[in-house]
This record gives sequence, C-alpha cells and structure tokens, in this order.
Amino acid sequence: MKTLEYTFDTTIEFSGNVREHAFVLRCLPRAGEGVTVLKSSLEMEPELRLSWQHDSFGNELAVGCAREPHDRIGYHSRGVVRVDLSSNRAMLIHPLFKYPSPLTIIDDDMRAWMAEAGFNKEAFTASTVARFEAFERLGKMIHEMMAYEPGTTSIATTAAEAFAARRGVCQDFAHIMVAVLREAGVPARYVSGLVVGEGTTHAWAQAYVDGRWHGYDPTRNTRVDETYLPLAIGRDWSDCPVERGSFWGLVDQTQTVFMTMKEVDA
Amino acid sequence: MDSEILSKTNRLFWLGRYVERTIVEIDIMMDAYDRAIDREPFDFRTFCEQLEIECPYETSDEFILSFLFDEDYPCSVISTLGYAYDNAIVLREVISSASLSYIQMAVNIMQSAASGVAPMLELQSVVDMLYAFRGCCDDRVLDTANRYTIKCGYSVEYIDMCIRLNYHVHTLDVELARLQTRLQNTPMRRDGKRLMALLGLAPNPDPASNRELLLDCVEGLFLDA
Amino acid sequence: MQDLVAHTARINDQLARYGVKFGIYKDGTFNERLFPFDAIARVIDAKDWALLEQGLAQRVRALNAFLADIYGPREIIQDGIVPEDFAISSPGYLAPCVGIMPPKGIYSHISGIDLVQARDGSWYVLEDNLRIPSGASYPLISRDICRRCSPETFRNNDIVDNRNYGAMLREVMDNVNRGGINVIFTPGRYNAAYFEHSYLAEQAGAILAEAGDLYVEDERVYYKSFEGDQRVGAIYRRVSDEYMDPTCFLPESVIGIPNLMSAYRAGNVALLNAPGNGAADDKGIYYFVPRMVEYYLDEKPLLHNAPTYLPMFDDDLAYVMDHFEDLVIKDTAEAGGYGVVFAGTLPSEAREDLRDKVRTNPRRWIAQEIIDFCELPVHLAEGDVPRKADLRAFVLTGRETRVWPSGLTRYSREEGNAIVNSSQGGGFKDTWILKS
Repeated sequence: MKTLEYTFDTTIEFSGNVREHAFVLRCLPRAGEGVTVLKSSLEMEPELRLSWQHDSFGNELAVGCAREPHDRIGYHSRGVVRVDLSSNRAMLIHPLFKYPSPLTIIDDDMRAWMAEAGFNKEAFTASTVARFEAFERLGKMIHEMMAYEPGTTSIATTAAEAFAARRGVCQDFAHIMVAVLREAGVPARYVSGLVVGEGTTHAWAQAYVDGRWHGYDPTRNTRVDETYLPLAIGRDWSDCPVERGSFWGLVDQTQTVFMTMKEVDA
Repeated sequence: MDSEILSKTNRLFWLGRYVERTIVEIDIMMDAYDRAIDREPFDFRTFCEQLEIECPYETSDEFILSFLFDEDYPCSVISTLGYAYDNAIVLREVISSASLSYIQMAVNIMQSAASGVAPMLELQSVVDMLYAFRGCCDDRVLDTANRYTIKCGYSVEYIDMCIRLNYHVHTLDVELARLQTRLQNTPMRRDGKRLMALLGLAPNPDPASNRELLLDCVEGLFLDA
Repeated sequence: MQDLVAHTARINDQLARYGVKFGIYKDGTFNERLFPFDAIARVIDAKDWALLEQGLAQRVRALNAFLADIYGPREIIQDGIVPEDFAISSPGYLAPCVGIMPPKGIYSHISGIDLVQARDGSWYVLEDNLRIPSGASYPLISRDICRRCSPETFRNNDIVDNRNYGAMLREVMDNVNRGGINVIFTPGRYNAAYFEHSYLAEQAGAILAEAGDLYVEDERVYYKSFEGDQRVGAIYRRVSDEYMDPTCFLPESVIGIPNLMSAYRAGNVALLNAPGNGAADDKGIYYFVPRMVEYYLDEKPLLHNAPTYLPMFDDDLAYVMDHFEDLVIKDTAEAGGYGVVFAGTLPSEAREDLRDKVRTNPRRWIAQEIIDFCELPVHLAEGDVPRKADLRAFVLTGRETRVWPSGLTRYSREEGNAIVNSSQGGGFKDTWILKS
C-alpha cells in the first residue's frame, strides 16, 4: 500500500482568441480497483463552473465551457490517493474490452508475429502461472522490439501502424499490447495515468486474468505496481483523452503538460 | 467555424428586406424597360452608383436583362429573390408552409420568366406572389414580434430605396411614420441616437440634402441586423 | 381513384408549390429536385392493416427492449440468443452510450420499418431503421393536396385520415420531454431531407434549430432567441450519431452541439432517437429480430423476415456459396440502397470477386433470398406501368407504441429494378389504409 501525492498541470495556448470553448476533461484519479482518493481538486484558469460526471467506463469527467474570448486555458489537478493493489477485488467486465477498437485493429503482420512468438489462445488459457508468464513476456517483447521515439507517431496512429514502424511512444506500446491480448482472446484495456516521478502523462495496458485487471507497462518494461495511478481507462486512447475540446476560432494550439507524483507518509 | 448562424429574428428582418427590394426593383425595371422600348435608354450607370453596386455591363438593354435574370450577378433581382428564399426556407415553422409557398412560387415563376419569351408579363405574377406572401404572413404569423420584425424589414428597405433612388420620394414621410409604429413591436435592439435623428427628420426628410445622414440612420437603425 | 389520377399534373404543380424536394449530392454539388409523386395510391385493407399494425408495434417493442438490454445488462447475450461479438462489435454499438438510460427507457421513438408484399399477399420485413428514418412528410403533404384535388375520391372511399402525424410526433416528444421546448435539430438546409425537417417542425409545433442555435450549459440544453434563451427538453435530432457532439463523437463535426452528451447523460434532455440505435438496425442484427420478439415479449412474431443467411455461421456460409446467384448480398457497412447487390445480375468476374469478399470477411455481409415482391401500377402519360414498390411504415413510441395509419410507398424508377430507395431516383406514392 502506498500513499501518493500528485500535481498535474495542463495549459493550452492558442495563437489567437477562441470562444465557445466546450471541453471534457479526464484529469482526476479514478477511484476503485485498488485506488482510494483521499483528496482531490481541480482549478481552472480562467475560473469556470464545471459539471462532474462519469463516462461509460467509469472515468471521472469534468465538463465545462469557456464562452468568452480567451487565448489560453489551464487546468490544475492536485490530490492525494492511496493505492493498494491487494484490495483490487474480482469484477465482471464489459465485453467491449474483448474486441478490437478503432486504434487497436490488428493486421496480418501482427498475427504472423504473434504466431511466431507463441502468443495464441492456448498460451493464455493454460495454468495461471503460464498465463502471467505469457502476459509479462509479451510486454517485454514489445519493449525490446519497439524504439521509443517521440514525434514519429500521432494520436491517430493504430497499433498495426506503430507495429509496422517498430517505433512510437507509450501510447503506441500500450495499443500494441492491448491489440495482441484481445486477438489472443484476453480482454484488455488501455490506461492513461500518472507514474511516480515527474514529466508527462503515461499509458499502459491491462489484461483481465482470473477475474481481475492486471497492468503491465511495456514502455518501461515492468509490471504495474502501486506507483501507478490511472486517470482514464478505455478501449484505446480515443476513450481516454485528458482533454477534448471544441471551440470557435482558426488558431494553432500548443499544449504544455507537467505532472509530479511522489510517495508520502500515510 | 467563425460565421455565426443568423438567428430567426435576423432572418425574418432580412426576409422582409429582400422581399421589399425585389418588389421595388421589379417595379423600377418594368418602367425602365417600357421607356427603353421607344423613348430613352435606362441610365443604368447612375442607378448602380446610387445603389452602390457593381456594374459590369455596357448597354442599357444588356443591363436590364442581366439585372433582372442573371443568377450569376449577385445584385440581380433573381439573386435578391433567391436571398429572400434562403431566409424563408429556414423559417417554415415560423411563417407557415402557406406563406413559404408564395415565395416558392415567386421563385418558380422568376425562373421560368428568365427563360421565357415574354418576361415582363411574368414579372407581374412574381410581384403578385410577393404581395400574396405579405398578406399570408399578416394572417398566418400569429406571433406579433415575428410579424412586425418582417414589417420592419419592408420599411427599412423601402425607405432605403426611396432615399437612394428617389423612388416614390413623396411617400417617405408616411413610411417613416409607419416604421416608427412597427419598431415598437420587434425584439431587435435599436440604436437610440439614430432613432432620435430619424424621428427628428421624419416630418420633413428632404432626402436631397440629408441623403447620407438618412441612409446612415436607417441602415444602422437595428443593432443586431 | 381514376378521378384522382386525372389530376396528376395539378398535384405535381402543388407539390412544387410547397417545395416538396429531395436533396441529392452528385459530383460533389448539391441539387434539390422534386420527389416524383404517383397519384395511384397503395391501398391496404383493414384486415391486412390490423395484422401489420400489431406486427409492427410488436417488432418495435422488441427492438426497444433489445436496445435497453444491450446497453444495460446484456441478458440476451448471456442467454445465448444473440452472439456477443455480433452485438458488441457492431459498428452501431456505441461505447459512450453504455449504461445511459434514456428518458422513460425509450430508445427508438420514431422507427421506420421497410416491408414488401409478396405475390401471395404476405408481408416481409426487409429492414428496420431506428436511427433517423425519413419520409413521413411526403405522404403527409401529398394527402392534403390529393384531398383538395379530388374530394370525391376521399368521400367515396373509406380512407383513414393520416394527417395526425404532426400530433403523434408531438405526443412522442412531449412524453419524454425533460422540461422545456421541443426542438427539431437539423444539419441545415443542404441536407437531403431538409424539406421534411422544416415541415415536421411546423406540423409538430416544434422549433427548427441548427447547431449554432443550441448550446449546453450546466448539463442543460438551451435554444438561443431574442426573447431570452429557452430551456430545451426534447430534441428530435436529424443529425447522425457521430456528428452530434464533437466532444464525444467525431471531433471535427461542425454541425453538432458541444457537450450535448453531458446533458443527455445527466437525464436533462431527451434525444429522439437515442444515440447508439445503430446497434439494433444493423443489416446483420436484423436476422435476430424475430428471436427478440420471442425472447423479450414471449410472443410469436407476427411479421416475417425475408429468409436471411449470416455467412459468419458455417451452415449459412455453405448455403450462400451454393446458392450465390439466387441471393441478394448486402454490405452491412452501407446504407440507403447502396451496397445491395443481386448476385445473379453481376458479370461472372465481379460475382466471383464478391464471393471471395464474403468468404474472407463473412461478418460484413448478409445474404437474403430474393422476394418476388408485388409490383404496383405507376401512372405515366402513355399508360400505367408496373413497378416494384416497398412500404416504409412509421412506428411511433410515446406512452405506447402506435403505427401511423399510412406510410411511404416508394417505387423504382425502371422496370424490373427492385431498389426503390429515393436516393436511387425512384418516386413515391401515398399509402391508404381502408377503414373496412
């Protein structure tokens, strides 16, 4: 069990004024599955009224609209959470996580690779030990096969495209892992969130094994432990954007993201 | 995505303006056409200057036909009627299908006139349809604010044409008085200063000497239009 | 009827007067053209109609139950009636709608069910349209005009008046209204069905609104007006799901209402029809509708599907491969009469091509027996000619599920052609239901 304190700041700057800027944020920790939120706050800049909702995947949403002209918008998320994976109870899942989603569609090259590496349905239906072994081996192989190269892929890059290029960022690594797991008959989820340290948001994959979700981080080649905090969970990135907005104005935008998370005394 | 969609009230106002403009322009063109048969050619250059519109034409005859029927000439009557239709078509539930059908028929007749042999005869039917439209609106648009917003459009356009073209200028004071009544019933916000100036000039508008002031006041009268 | 038919030219003049148009995009430009009307109505007698009415209402009740189930507990999947992958990985199944219960639990308020009548008189359902079925306005306005042209026809025949559609629509909207005005939300006047949007707004006493007229604040929808902004309680939206809210569906949509889904999620506005209905009117899910009737209602289905095969099932695939030339092959990824192919009419190379496609991607296709459906007479200057015709029935779900006593009868443009979709150049007829 760990107690984590985080800060997560995002600022979007526009090259000119925009208005009627409606947005949906997913930048608050997601309670449940081992996470207890002890304290959390969200400050908007400029100050705005927000509505709080949950989406179909149970993610915390902050919904609002900045109508007046503005050339920057910021949101600052702060809080303290307790992560205790031993309290992650068995749960039923929605079958959506079994099937390919827009960004996790698989192709023949990936299938050939899976066959060669032995990631078939049998590998994931053998003994519990063997299943976890296959799960970790998959994460490790993706880690070793892929080059981490920011700027080579975009938010619209599919698992198959990133796989073909053999490079990408954490999002692409996670998409490939999710795609392979589903193809092998294992329900899988994409997770975006924070990891202890500082920098930007991170993404990893989860597999549904023995009634529980287990995470693996193919980018950092490690099992997901109590230093990871999910912000949003979905079929792929498109279900989990930290911010989705729509506004009036023909402008360029630059997004700056900075997060810190550290372990603190309970 | 920076163009704001016109509100229904705006559209009602512009519908009124375009309908009025079509009627006045047809009236002027029928007269001009008649004169051009055996009297003097139409002074279309002055006409265009007064209206502040482009004039890519060389002869009076060419101008009259194009000004009436050329859909590619954005200032033509057929285009103006088209703008009326564009506003009417999105107001069906406000003005009623019955009223809209008269605009539709005016458009249909105008199009057949454009390709017909005796266009001037058919123009009369276009005007008939537009007057039927006005009568129908009076009857079918039950919401007072909506009804008067269209009428404000008629008045503003009529006054504008009077001043610009010296058209029926002796009726200008009457029309100004009419506008004064009509604008009490529209939700459109008005420019207080311009309204005061206009009311001051109303009893004796004298457009020959007050042309610019009058035009500025009447065209800028409604803030939202 | 002959008296009415004699007025054909006058009726068409009247339709032109009211701008009864159908928009069509060709080579990238938008053209509106008149929707050809044929004065010879389709006549359905009272006995036939009673069966259709019950069968259609039954079908729509089952489809509504199915939608509530698959976006909720998914019992029909757990009970093995509908295969899970088939329901869940359908492109019409929208993840953002999972777990949202629409007001009063109604998903499909306005359903358009397409039927044909076989030569032996029996009716077959060809397609369910639960997203934004269009077409009710055409028989509605043409009835008005026909009655004016030939009052005798309507005095001498006992025809059920169909001009209550606006009132029915209003009742359907009022029933789910969450407080505020009723709005018909149109993509704009360059939409193919704009005439219908504006006409139905007038008939139902609703406000016609475009994207810029509506906005969301604090989980509520408002309509902008000069007299102050008005709360919106129900939206009959004629914008498709993916364009409805750029913060939830396609981000590039400029015809949507940003954050609309937040108001819907909070239960503050009814959307007619509910987003996500594509999960139940998929050309493939159609196969299972009679089973839904039995499963949810515990009733025998009163209406039949055209015999259909799903190549994803091995037995069906074998049958389809053996009888390929005799079947209609439908692409589940297309709509509006596109992607429907009579395999027997294809040149052999194209046919083998299609056969390969079906074999390699069976989930995408369905195959149907060709129903030799009735032809109806269509009046032309040189005399009446027979044309294939279908019927789109409109089923409205308000406090209860009711069938509009009329419908859109569409006929094909050419002889022998069995595709009657209006985007393919056909015309329409009024549909008369007889009182006895």
